[in-house]
Amino acid sequence: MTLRLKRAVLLASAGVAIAAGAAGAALAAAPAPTPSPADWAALARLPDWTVGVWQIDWSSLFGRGATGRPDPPALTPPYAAKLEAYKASQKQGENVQNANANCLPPGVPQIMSMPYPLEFIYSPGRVTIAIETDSQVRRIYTDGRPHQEDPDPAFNGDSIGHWEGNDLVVDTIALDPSVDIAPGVNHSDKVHIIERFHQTGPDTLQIATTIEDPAVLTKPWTVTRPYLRHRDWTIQEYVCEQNNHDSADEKGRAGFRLDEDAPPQSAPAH
Amino acid sequence: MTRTCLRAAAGALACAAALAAAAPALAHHSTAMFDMDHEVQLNGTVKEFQWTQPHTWIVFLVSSPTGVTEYGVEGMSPSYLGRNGWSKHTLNPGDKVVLSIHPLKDGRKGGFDSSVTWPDGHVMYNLPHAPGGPPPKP
Repeated sequence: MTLRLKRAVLLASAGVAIAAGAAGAALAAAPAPTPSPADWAALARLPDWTVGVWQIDWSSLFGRGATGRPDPPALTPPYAAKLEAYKASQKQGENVQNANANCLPPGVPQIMSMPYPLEFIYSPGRVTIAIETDSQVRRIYTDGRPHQEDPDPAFNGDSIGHWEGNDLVVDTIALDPSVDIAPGVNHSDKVHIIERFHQTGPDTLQIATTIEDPAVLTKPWTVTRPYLRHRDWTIQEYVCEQNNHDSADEKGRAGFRLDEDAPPQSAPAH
Repeated sequence: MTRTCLRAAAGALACAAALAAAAPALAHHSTAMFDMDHEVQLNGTVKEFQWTQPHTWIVFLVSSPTGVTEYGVEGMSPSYLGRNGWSKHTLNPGDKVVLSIHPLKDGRKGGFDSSVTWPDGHVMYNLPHAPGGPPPKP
C-alpha cells in the first residue's frame, strides 16, 4: 500500500472519529501513517536534489541571468497606485529598507530568491526545503493531503506538492498579511502560488513561480529563476538576531546602530 | 583619502559592476544608509572582528593627533565570506590594516567594508567585485 493510500485510509478512520464526537483541535492534521521500508526506498527514485546545496544563480539577481529579466507583474489599478506611491516615497528616503532588516523573514515567494543557498531533504510524503537566509524551513507535504481547511496565515504559507515525473510542483496559499510578493507589492487573502521545480542539467535547476491573486494581479505572474548546485557547500547557521545593526522604521527608513548608540543594558537578574 | 566611481572610465565600469552586485547581496537589508558612490580609506587597528550573522562587524580604531576614534564597520555575512576565502581568523585584534569602507551618509563613524589591505599590499575583498561571480582570489 502506498503512503498516499495509507493516508487516505487513516483519513477515513479519522473522519469516523470526528463524526463520533471526538472533535479535533483546529491545528490537528490527520494521523500520520508510519512509512514502510518501501516508502523509504521509493525516495531513491526521486531526483538527487538532496546532494549538495542550491544557490540562486547570482547572474539572475545582478545581471540578465540565464532566464533573462523577469516581466514585471501586471497590477490591478489599486495595487499599481500603491506601487507608484511606494516608489515615489523612496525619493524621500522612505521604503528603502524592509522588515527583513529587523530580522523578519521575507516569506514565500521572496525567501526563494535570497542570495544564499537552500537544501532539499526528502522523507516519505514530504519535501523539506531548508533555507540558509534567516534559517527558514518550508515543509511541503507530498502525501496527497489537501491544503488545511482554514490555515493560519504564515510567512511561508501552507504548502502541498506532488511529483510530475521528475518535476516537483508546489502549491502554496495563506501568506501572512505582511508578506510582499515583490518589493512594494503586497497580496490579498486570495493569493495562490504555484512553483515548478525542474532540473535542467546535472547541477542546474529552474524554479518557475506563478502567482495568482485576482485582487492584485490582472493575470497570473510567472518568474523563472535558475539555481546552481554547489556539491561541496553545506548550509550555515543564520540567526539574524545574533548581531544585527540594521533596522527599518514604520516608514521603511533605514537605521544603522553603532555600539555607542546601544541602549544601556540592565543588570541581569539573579 | 576618498576616491569616486567616476574617477576614470574603466574605474567607473568596475565600480558600477561592484555596486550592482553589492546591493542585493546584502541579503537582509538595502544599502540605503551607506554612501555607495564613495569609498573612504581608514588606516588603523582592529579592536574586534565579530564573525556573526547577519553580518560580520569590525570595531576599528583610527588614531589621529587629537585622539583615537572608534568606527563600527559592517561586512558581508560569515556564510558568504566563508565561501570566499575568509574565516573568523582573517582579522585579529591588534592587526594594523587599511579598511576601504562605504561611509555612513549621516556622518557617524561607521560604514560597510569594501576591502581590507594589509601592510604587505595583500588585499581581500569583502563586497563581491564581479556580478555573478566570487571576488578576486586574495
